[in-house]
Amino acid sequence: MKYKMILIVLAVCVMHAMSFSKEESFKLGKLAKEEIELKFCPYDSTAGAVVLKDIGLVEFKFDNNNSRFSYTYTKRTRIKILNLSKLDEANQEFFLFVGEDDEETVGKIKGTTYNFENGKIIETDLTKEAVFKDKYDTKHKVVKFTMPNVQVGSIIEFEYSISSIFNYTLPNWKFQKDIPVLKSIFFVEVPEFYSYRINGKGYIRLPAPITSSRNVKEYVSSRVSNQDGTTTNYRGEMEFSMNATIWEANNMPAVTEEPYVACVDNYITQIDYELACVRIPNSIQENYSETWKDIITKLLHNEKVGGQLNKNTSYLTDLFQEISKSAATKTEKLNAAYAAIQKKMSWDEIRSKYVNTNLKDAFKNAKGNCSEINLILISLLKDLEIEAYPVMLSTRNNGFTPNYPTEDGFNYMIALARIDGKNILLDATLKNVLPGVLPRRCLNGKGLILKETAVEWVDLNPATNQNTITSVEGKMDENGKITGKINIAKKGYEAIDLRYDISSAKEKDTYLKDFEKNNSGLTLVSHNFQNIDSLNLPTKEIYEFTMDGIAEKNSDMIYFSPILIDKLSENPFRLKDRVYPVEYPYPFEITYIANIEIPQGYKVEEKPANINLSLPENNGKFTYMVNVLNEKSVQVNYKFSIKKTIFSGVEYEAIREFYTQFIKKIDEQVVLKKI
Amino acid sequence: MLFNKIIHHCFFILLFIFAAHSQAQNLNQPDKLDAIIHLEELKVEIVNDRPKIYIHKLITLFNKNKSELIDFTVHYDKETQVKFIGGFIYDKLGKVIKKIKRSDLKDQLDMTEFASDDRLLYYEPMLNSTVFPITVEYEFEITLSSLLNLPSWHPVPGYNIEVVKSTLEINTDQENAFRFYEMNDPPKFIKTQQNKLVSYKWQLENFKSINEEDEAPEIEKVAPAVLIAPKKIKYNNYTSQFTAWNDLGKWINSLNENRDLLPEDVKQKITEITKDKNSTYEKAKTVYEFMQSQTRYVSIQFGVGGMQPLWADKTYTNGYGDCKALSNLYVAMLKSVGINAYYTLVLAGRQKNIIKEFPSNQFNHVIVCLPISNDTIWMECTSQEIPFGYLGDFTDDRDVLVVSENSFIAHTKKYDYNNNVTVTHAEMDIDKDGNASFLISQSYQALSSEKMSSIYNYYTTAEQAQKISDLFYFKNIQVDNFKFVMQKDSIQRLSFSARLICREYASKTTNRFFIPLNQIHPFVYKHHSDTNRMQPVVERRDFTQVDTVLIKIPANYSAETTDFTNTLVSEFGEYTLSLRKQADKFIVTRKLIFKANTFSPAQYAKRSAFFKELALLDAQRLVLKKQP
Repeated sequence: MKYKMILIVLAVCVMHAMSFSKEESFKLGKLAKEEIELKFCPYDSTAGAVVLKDIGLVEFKFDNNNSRFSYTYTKRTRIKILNLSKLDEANQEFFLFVGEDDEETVGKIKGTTYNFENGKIIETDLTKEAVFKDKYDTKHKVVKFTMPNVQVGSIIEFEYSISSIFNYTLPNWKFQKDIPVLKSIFFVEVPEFYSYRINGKGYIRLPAPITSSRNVKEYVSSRVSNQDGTTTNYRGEMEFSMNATIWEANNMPAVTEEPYVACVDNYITQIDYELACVRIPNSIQENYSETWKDIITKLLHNEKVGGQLNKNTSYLTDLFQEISKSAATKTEKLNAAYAAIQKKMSWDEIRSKYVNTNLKDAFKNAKGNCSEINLILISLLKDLEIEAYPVMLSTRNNGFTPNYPTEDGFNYMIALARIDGKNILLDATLKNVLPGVLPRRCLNGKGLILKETAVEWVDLNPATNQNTITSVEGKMDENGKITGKINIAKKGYEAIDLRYDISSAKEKDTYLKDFEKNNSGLTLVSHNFQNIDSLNLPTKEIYEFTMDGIAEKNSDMIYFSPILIDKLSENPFRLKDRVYPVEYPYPFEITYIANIEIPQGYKVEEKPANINLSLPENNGKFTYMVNVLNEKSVQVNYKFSIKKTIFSGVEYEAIREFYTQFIKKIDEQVVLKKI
Repeated sequence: MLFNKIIHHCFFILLFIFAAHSQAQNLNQPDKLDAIIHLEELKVEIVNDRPKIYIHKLITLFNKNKSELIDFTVHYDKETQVKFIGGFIYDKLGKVIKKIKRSDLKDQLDMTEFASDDRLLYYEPMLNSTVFPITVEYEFEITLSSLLNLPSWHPVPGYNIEVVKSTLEINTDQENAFRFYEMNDPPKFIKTQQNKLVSYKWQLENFKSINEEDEAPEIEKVAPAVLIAPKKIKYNNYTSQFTAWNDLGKWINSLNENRDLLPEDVKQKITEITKDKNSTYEKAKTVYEFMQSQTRYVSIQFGVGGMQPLWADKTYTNGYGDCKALSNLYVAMLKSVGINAYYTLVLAGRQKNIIKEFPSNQFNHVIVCLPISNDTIWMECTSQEIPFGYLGDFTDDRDVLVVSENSFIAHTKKYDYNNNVTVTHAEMDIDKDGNASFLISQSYQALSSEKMSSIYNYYTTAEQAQKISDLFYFKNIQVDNFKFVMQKDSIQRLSFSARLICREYASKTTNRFFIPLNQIHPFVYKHHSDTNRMQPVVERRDFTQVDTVLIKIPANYSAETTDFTNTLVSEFGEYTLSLRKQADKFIVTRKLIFKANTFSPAQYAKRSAFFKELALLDAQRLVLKKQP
């Protein structure tokens, strides 16, 4: 959240007090009979508590003392506790922003717990000893309170108001919580001088809001700046309107956690207000709302972004000379520069579109956030006369790429180089990769190229194939023990992970141990890793192994599943129904080939049937085949692939079943019988 | 549940530093090492009632495993003064890459408790695996508010850590200022005297790392350490000697004094609800359940180092409190009907053992002790669900300090394989497509019930169905008609019944079905080839599982598997699995017992072989063949 205050310098004598009667619906009101009798949430019988009413009011008012508008944010909430699992709803907390000259303040916190005994309502009020305020860090205070006498069946309600002058963004309002919300109302009233852009998101669409307007008359004395830099004083009665918007949502479901969701916030129904412009009578309109072009220009001139690229780069001289000497073509230079920055700089795991320190210092410390590291890379590329730009993006866990002009939805910076008209994306925070590969966190929609001359977007999806090929050669003895060799070739993110996982002796040891542990019965006799440093080639793992306990013997029969390793044993999609789409970071393919020689004196009596399964429109594919070769060995091969990254809720059942069939199939048995 | 100051003060000391940077030289990672402590200096100065602690560390980290060693955090409050002297971060060549100033440290309210005035002062060197090795040095001076919680010296804070040099120095000008306790043979200390200042110094040098191994004892059981405690308790106006457990008890008593008063109407209410109960046990149980229904746990830690409970009447009105407040309230409630129960200090959590021989403030939680005729009942007061008289694994089987006129150490109830029992009875029906439907009923007891009871207690119905299916190993499971019955007895016993539907439970070939005999709690042994075991092996499991499963197979199939009984018995465990055909059904019986124990390193291989065989036997299947 951004805390900015946009000031209107107005000295005003308020002639008409801004009194307006707040509608009854903005109050919690008396307890209704249905609320008292409610035993479970009508549309979610499993909920442990339910928000009966959640009301938020943002109201601007004129602050006489400081001659400026401020607003109060009032929150009124009533919750019913339905079982022990949600007693903690009685504990509440919120933060107050502390700026350099001003800070947010909170008024008296009122609260009541209602308990119901033998037809009587017992009220217990929140006392001030149960309210705790403390400094949280340099920019925030934290306020916590805990409601008294809360038991299963209690209704708790509380109300507080926060006064704030930080009006660039208004408080975010969520219509959904981790418990169901029966009624949620968000009321925002702003003077006509301010206009806000409203950004909504979420899986459930909100009904259209109700708007209204009323006139206010005030005696105003104000001083405003003119275009030529002079100021003019105005005095007199001014009439202006207050524009209100009321958002309301009913019967909202609880937010649930589900696997394969990159950022659950994308799906929570909520509203944000961001200041678009301020129009003061007789004064220049000030625009805060921007086009993409404005944003690009602003960032390129921002000292913490583009400004860094205009600085002296003498700290890069050594690298520059080294690369200029050894590399001839632009591509060679790019590769060398990228490798040099990857090697030199360590990422401090901070995601930000801004630099925290200047590039020279970050370079000196050999450490930086993504913006510092990638801007250093861009500086070096520019010195080497390669066309290069910063690219701003939103990481997967930060939410979708904004679809309206804003810089707030972005949290990360990478680099783009352009050679012979071809775009190459670069993120030097990632080690062990060649130019063109971004970390998983960046695989999210589009990135905005920060280039003065045009608004250009670049697709962030990976271009390379993601596949893993495992091949096993084995020989089974008559006790069912298998001896042989495993070959695994990984390409794409799996290869990056492997290079990362075995980067030190200790980690390699752990990797090998985990490999054994995750494949029951497997003992590795030897291991050999290849192409770990050849980043353009797939990684190769070669193991000699023995495997025990995979085959079951019963009198003259042996039963075993020919898929020996890396078996998915549990369906990741356990929920029967799902609301949100399924999101994969990228499409991928897994191939498994095995050839297992059966013990002498045995024959294959039965084998699993071949199968060929597809998701609708071929967005996923699973093929499985078993053959018996010369009555001596069992040959199996399967391929499992997912070909798109986002599957809608409608496709959920199909994808869940696809996994079920896959898991079942790779566990199927080959039956051997003694001849 | 922890009253935080105590814990914090016990180990914050480990987290600071001092050192000479010349030692941070070019380091290549030695095999299996996570960190090298080049130098750690811990100095404790006791010249008045506010001990000064000086810490100085220089540590090289080779990977993320022990990153807590260099993420330095000081817990402090209004009464503690913290002075950050300085710090450095070095690269692998020993070159300074960052000088840490006081302004680089973050100062933040400790949010682990709901409310307290504890704050954190910390710096995270922000690790990234590719930066290793990284060397960090820092230096702090802390002035404590009292002598009560002196730091302890744990020079080897974990496995895979090499210690070049670590020292503990205690300087005092007072006779009888402190006591100490040595664990696992630290090097002999040297006592020197200069004028009035007496100095005690322990120095550990060139301590080779101990390799981390699965199921090894906790490092505290192996590594040398020195604990320190004052010989006097001095807190505000209270002064007494501190050499015996009773001294600590007396002080706690003084803090609790007059905090057990209850208003008349509450007393009347208690009298009324207990008037028909005849025994002390019944009365105490009634009061306990009444208190559970009226309160909830909220962690609020203020006052006398977070050691003083809130007044009982206030806690009653609030309807919430922390472990001290709720225990105090319960003791007060019992007192109002003439029952004497005792406020009891305990070290809760995974680490069970306090050092009984060394009276000092080693506790972090409060429970209640009620002696009745031939028995002692222990009660956890922060839970709304736990049965009267039952302690979970949070406080079971450990030494505690019972606070009374004559405070004493007692031992809480231990639950072993005789108590921790799961009994399962299931009837399984396999249809012609290999789908299974189970009617399952289970009884979980004592520690074996903890997982299931937390599902029962803390989740909504939808979450319960999800959690139950997670608890079983079945694939494609659907849990229907599930029911819990909690018997609120002094040992937790939870009955569970359900209908489980498992689509394609049997794996298939054209002519055969393979039906796992045990999918209720299959024994899985995840091992890797560990050939050279160094540490003893600690078996922490202590339970009994008894299963009976009746399998009804579809028509037109007959068994290829013949009846069998497999038995494995050794010091590592006892196991039986049998399959028997009876009329049209197959009866599977299984029993598995593990007893907590510690085995010598030499027994490791034998134990692995035992588990491997057990896992094989437990994975057996009933093979059915289609009739032609």
